[in-house]
Amino acid sequence: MTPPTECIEGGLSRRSFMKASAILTLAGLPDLAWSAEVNDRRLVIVLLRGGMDGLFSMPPVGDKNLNSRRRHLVTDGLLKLDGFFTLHPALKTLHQLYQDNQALLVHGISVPYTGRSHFEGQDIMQTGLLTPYASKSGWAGRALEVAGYGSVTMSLPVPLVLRGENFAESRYPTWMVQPPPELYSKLVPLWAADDVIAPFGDQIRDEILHPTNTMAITKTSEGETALSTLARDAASRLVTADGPRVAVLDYVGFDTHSQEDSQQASKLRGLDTAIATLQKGMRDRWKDTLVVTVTEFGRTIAENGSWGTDHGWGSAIFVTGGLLKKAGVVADWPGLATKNLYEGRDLKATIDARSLYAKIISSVFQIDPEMVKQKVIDAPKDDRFDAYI
Amino acid sequence: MAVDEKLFVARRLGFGLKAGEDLPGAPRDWALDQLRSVPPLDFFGADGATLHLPRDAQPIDNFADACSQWNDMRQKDDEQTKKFNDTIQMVMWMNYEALPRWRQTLALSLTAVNGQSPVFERFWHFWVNHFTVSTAENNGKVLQDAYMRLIRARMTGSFADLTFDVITSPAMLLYLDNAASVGPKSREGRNSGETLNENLGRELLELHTVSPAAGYTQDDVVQAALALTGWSFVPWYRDSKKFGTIFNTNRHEPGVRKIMGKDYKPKDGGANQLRDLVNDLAAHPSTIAHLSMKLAQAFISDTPPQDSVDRIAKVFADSNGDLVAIHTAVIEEVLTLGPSTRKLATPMTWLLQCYKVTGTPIDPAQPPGHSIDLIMKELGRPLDESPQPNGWSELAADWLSKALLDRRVRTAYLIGTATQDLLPDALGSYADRLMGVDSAAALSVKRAESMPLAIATLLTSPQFLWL
Repeated sequence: MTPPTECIEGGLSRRSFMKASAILTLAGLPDLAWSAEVNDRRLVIVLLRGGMDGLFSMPPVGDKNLNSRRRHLVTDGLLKLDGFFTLHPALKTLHQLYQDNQALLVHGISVPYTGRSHFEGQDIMQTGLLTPYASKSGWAGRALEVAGYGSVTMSLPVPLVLRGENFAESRYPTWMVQPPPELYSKLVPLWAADDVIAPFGDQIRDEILHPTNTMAITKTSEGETALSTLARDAASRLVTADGPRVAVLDYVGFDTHSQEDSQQASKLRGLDTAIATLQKGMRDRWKDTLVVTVTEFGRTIAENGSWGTDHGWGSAIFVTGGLLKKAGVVADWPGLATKNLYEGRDLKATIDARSLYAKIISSVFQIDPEMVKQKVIDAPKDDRFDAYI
Repeated sequence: MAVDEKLFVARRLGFGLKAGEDLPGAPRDWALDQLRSVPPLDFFGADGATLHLPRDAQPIDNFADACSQWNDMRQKDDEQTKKFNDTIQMVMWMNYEALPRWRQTLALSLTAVNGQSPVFERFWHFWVNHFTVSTAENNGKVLQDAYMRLIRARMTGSFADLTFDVITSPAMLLYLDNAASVGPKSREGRNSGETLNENLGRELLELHTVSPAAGYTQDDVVQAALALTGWSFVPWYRDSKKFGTIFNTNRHEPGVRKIMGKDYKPKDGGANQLRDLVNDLAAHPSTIAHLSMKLAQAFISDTPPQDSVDRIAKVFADSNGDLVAIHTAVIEEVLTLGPSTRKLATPMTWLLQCYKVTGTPIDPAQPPGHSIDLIMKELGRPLDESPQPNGWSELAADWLSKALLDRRVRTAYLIGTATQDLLPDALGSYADRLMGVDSAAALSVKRAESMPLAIATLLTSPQFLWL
């Protein structure tokens, strides 16, 4: 049986039964022939789908407008950062990492997209482009290609952020038994005659009929604690010397239109536990690791009618890992007074998230920044990150 | 067309043909005749007769009963927080999760494969997906029987009526939070401080009707959300004994709404504002373009000829959104274009076609688990648990990957091993018919060492994957 896992107080969703709420995808297997030359750095991308509320997660208590605009959404017991910003108490591991010089917390940041549509926003946060649906590849996928991790990635629909211009796939667990090889032998020539299906048929042939030791997985899991289960899986793969270079944890549920206080606190606990799990699981490789969050937009300053918030713009991004040079908070705080808001309602994004992602790619994959700009993300350079990454 | 027209039409527009069987009449009449009235949604067995299922399988097919069940669940949930034990949890899970899931699986599969109106069922699947109500993150599964039947019952009317009834249904009001949205200047808003929730207002514009191509602004979204205030349902909002959708003037934002350049003035408390808005949205050129393209992509090609889309759009406009006329126009385009275009079968259509062609029975009497439900998860498309309100893609790029292709192979082999009554001759004739007599592909099926291998080869061949 599947027991219920969370109780959200209030009218709307008192109960939600256990549901798939997180997905893990690993990518970037080094070509074993020249694995001695590849670097040892690892990247974990956590997609926070739905529009993560940066004001809830990283409340700017130094802004006198915060409390007056959010009567129900400023939690007690906030964790102090620099006097102006704080962290939600659910993020205690992240806070400890900050104190240990291993967290960079950026506020008033987003991709330069203000349309407030989940689907356009999630496209842009993954492609790194300025208009939605303009590319079939994502910034991490292109980075993997530029860095020379060619035939990698896997899974049920690969998250867009990991798709390259020519991505390939690999294996994943399923309860369905694998049919005998004769079936694949019969199908491969049939598939080869079809221009659309042939590339996938070739990949199946390479894996099943000519197996190699390439390895890659996607898993889904359920409930909040499950994100950390997937994080443990991710770490166990990433930590090996010839393991994948990138893990994407796809975490839905940040579209907090109602009952945000309990709903997002639960999601943040899941995120924080996953970070703790990653740190532990990566062992001595944690020093070569960066973890970064990605979301499509932040949320309105004001609460809506159901103790939630609607779609906005500026949000917060968390970077952690041993690869950081030092801890810090980066913000060019636009302010919460109405005159400072975007269209009178949203936190402005004064920092382009793409600049941060470009910096991270350059560091993790050791790609020249100019090459990143040309081939991966064409974002303005932001010197503020140089001190940290 | 040089190919077998009956087989082509049955596969492109319906769920295919059982090996050894054929369409009862001319393909065009067969398809169009199904659109004019709403066929019964019974649980049919493989022989076409209605199955007599246990009481648990009886759908809760109207919102009054469904909302009553939802209320029972909520009350038990309150009790359970006081007295928490495994037995109560098991009963809760069975009644409000597993059984609704099982009934939904049967409704979507048995009628499609064994009923007499597969073309109608394909359009039904399309609209259920267009107006996605996902229960991946909420407790609304017990409302799905009634929700899917509401959509079905409106499929011979107008797009405007369908849209209005869908967005004011308890299932949608719960899913996209409108049940909780209150006009800030309404009587209740002023008293309680409760205010607006934009979720349904935004998706009504973005997903259900005009799409972002219409160029609406954030203010239009807010105004649409304000027009939606007051629409809620009992028992989410407790002020009546009568379960179902209600419009509560005390929660409705007073005043004129201005949306995409047009004023909507309130009459009789303001319930007319949403209806007037939906009528205008349903007839908006951007809605017509959006829906015509989406239908063409579902039935013709991922990149349909613009002429075809335009002709569907013209019928949409000229008929004032009459769904029978629109569905007819889609079918006419498919018949005209024939196999010059092709569509990759999306997971649900493909899986049901596998059952249909092999005659493998869909076992109804196995609550709570169901093989179709479990397989759909493996194929990447759990039935009503789309992660987001845009629903499932109709496009090949989203359903073709190494992993997803391999899962279809595994599914096909599973079905191949479960098939019992299909004779090799019937399978061979079907392969000749679909792939060309004694073509390399047909020979590959016919010369397979075993029936499971032959069946699986057929079901995952390009000729079967493409419609």
